[in-house]
Amino acid sequence: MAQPPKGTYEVIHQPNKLKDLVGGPARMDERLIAKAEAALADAVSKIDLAETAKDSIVKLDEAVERLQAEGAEPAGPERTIYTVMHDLRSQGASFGYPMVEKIATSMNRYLELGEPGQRGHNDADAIKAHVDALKAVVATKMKGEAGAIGQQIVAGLYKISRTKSK
Amino acid sequence: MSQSSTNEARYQRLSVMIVEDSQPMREVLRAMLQSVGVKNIIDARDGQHAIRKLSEYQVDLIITDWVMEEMDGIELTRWIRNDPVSPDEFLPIIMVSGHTESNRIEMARDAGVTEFIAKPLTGVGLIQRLVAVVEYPRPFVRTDDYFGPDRRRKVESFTGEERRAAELRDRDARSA
Repeated sequence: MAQPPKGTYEVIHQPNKLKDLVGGPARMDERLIAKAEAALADAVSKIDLAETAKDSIVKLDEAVERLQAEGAEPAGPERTIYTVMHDLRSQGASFGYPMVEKIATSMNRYLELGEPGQRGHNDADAIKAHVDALKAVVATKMKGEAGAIGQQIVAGLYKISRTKSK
Repeated sequence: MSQSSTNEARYQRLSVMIVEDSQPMREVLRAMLQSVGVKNIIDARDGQHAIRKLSEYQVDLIITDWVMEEMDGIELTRWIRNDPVSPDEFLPIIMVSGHTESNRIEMARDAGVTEFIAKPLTGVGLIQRLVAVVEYPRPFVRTDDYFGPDRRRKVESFTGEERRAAELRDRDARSA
């Protein structure tokens, strides 16, 4: 015999307001996709990550400074670094800076090993290494994979983020 | 009027709110929405800002980032679905995020997100989700510990467009 569901369970079928607004079927079509892709490419071509990342880099520098301060409480700055790096990871992937994407990925993988602040600011050097590498990539407008040197930088940071855990 | 232009005109009556803390990403999303006909676009820089603007504007659809410093996209989604002063607990919410791990996507679903797009953005991904929220709305479910779109619905397949996505990936790979 079937068991009755535990607790309450209500299914609500709402009127489809969006369908009413669009006034008919919305379909996938190649021309619309091409227009969206063209708009995406055009918007991306106008964005210079070296410029748009300036505010983010100021935030990262301030957060690292707070982490390194005597008796610092690390949770706040680490949360800021995580948020800013997450944003830069997406920007790097979207705007032609895979090195930025990789450095930010490494940074956040490291921070995700514990709740913000849990690892303590003894790790400020590891965080600073990521921030400094990212600043160098942005300052030199290092687009693309940046060859062997770029790979070495990323490999070094990945090594830090995978092994320097408590 | 051709089918394409009809399709394009369909989105012009939608009022879409973009919630994104990165200005360049907001600009990209805005440009893509405008290209497919959306005219009313409201920007918000985080969840708190979005809540303030929701009290000022009629919004039909939200496209939100996940990670934002003041109030993130998950918190915003929970507020829209559950807060007594939410203007529309059934509002469709498309989450755009670099968090693409399956446990993260499940977390977004459990918060009440309607659709999910992984960054970096693509035209196919955006339009596919627009079509999904218009054509295939999920019924809502209320249980003791969840209110939001039914999480059991399978993702609708769009065979032709998946092929298109593969072509675009190939093209990008060739030009890289």
